[in-house]
Amino acid sequence: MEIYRSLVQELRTRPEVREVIVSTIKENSATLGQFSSCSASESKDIEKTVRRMFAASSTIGSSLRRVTMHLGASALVAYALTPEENLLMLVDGEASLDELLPYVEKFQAAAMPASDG
Amino acid sequence: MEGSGGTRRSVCSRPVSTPSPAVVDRSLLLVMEDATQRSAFRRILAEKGCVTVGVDSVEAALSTLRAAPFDAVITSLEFQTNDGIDVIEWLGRHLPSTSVFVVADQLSEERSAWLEERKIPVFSLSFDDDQATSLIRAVLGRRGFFGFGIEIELFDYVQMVALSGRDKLIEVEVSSDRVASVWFEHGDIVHVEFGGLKGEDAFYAMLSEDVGRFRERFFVAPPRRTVFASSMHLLMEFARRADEESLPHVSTRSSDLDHKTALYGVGSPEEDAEDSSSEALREVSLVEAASDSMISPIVSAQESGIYERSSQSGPHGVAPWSAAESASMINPLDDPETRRLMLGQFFAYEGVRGVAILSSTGKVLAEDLRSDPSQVTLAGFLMRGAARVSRALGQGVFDGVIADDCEGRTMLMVAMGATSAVLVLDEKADASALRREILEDQ
Repeated sequence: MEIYRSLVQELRTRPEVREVIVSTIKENSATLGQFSSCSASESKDIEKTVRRMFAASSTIGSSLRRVTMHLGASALVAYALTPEENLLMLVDGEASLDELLPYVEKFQAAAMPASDG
Repeated sequence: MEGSGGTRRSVCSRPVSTPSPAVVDRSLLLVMEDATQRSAFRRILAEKGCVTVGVDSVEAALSTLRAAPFDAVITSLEFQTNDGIDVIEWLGRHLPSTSVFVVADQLSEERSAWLEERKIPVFSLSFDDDQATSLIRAVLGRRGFFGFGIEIELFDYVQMVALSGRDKLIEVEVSSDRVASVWFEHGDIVHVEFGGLKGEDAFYAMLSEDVGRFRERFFVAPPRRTVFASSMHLLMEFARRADEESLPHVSTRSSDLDHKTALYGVGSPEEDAEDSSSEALREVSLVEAASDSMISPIVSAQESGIYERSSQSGPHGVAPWSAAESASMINPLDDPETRRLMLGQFFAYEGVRGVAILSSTGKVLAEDLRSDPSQVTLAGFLMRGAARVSRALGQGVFDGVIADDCEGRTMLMVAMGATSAVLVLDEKADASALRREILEDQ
């Protein structure tokens, strides 16, 4: 999780990004961040719901890499970094995901370091 | 372990080879009362390099099998005090992966049929080199690593069997007097029986019990085929139905089974609310149940009275949602032309390869996906999950989901009042732009 900490801070500097969370189901590893507009348990519930979305897609053999939920003036964008870790971003409704992609790619690179081979 | 001094209950003490059958490959247990026969078998099998252990009674056989697994068991059926069938049934209950062979010269028709049904080979008492070779080939033909007494969760097991493509029969005991039987062929579930139900409903009803133990049985061919969907689809469909609280149930006493209520439970809202079926979703690791309809202003078709539950069963014993007989309750989507027009309006957008229309509870009202139909089940999950997220975040608005998979495919879901559209897009389509376009057109 620590490898993401600086990346979370970097992503939060973007004006269109409201919240950034890296959720995990790894043992002894805490989630980075929490949704400020809801309670801790609700925030956990959101993480769990997103996790199950990715799990459901894997179950039918159509693994998702990104889910974008449009919530009026905002959107929750979730990326599967690894089978155990997801990146969740609450962004402005009109935010360009293409512009945020380089940031996401840094998370993905951190999640799966290139092999030595 | 060979019998010593004729003591019937003793486990034979003189194995042909010294290594323990627990660690030696291709170990065989011989269960024969007649010591001469046993010796003849052991000699021939030893010449073939097999490790054999001989016992002279059913009791000794079961004790030996409890102590260590064997690759194969060769048993006669005739014993003074027991029946060799007991050994076979015990293996079926406890070690169904163990190969079993019968030694007999004469068999009744009933026994022959019983053995044939379980595909158990029968050798004659004049066990010769050819029969030994055939047996060895059968035992040696079993490759790979086998486990015994392994704990595994049912959902993991179903997925594992689906991947392995094996034929299996399992019995799931949900209570002392209620057992479900599930047949797999080539990895897929092909037949399920539970509490008077058969087919998919039996599977869902069994899963909705949310507690039970299961074990493999000797594979016996299913009496019929009642399930045609893939195992993966069944798991997804179960989770969807749990979400909708529309799982079939069986009475706790099978004799009390009333098929009408069994299919959907007794139906009172209070009892439905107490239904713990959504708990099962935690086990399935699928989308959390959304307990009510989607975010306002969506009103479920069910609530709006468009549909009511039919008392007639569908092709698999499922009472389908159907148009009510009353003229005032006609569902416009029952009309093929209306369905065609509704779906067609979305195909008019560029890049749309497939369309489905869902109710607010995720029920498919019309679809023409032209590709993978399981996508629509996933779409229902994503919509309900997104609605839940919206509620948790206090947004109060939820107007669509875009799902991009790892193979470059995109699925767009757009909320439209009482229904939602699910669009499968081609690689060139811009999902965000298309979503805006659809919302503007509305």
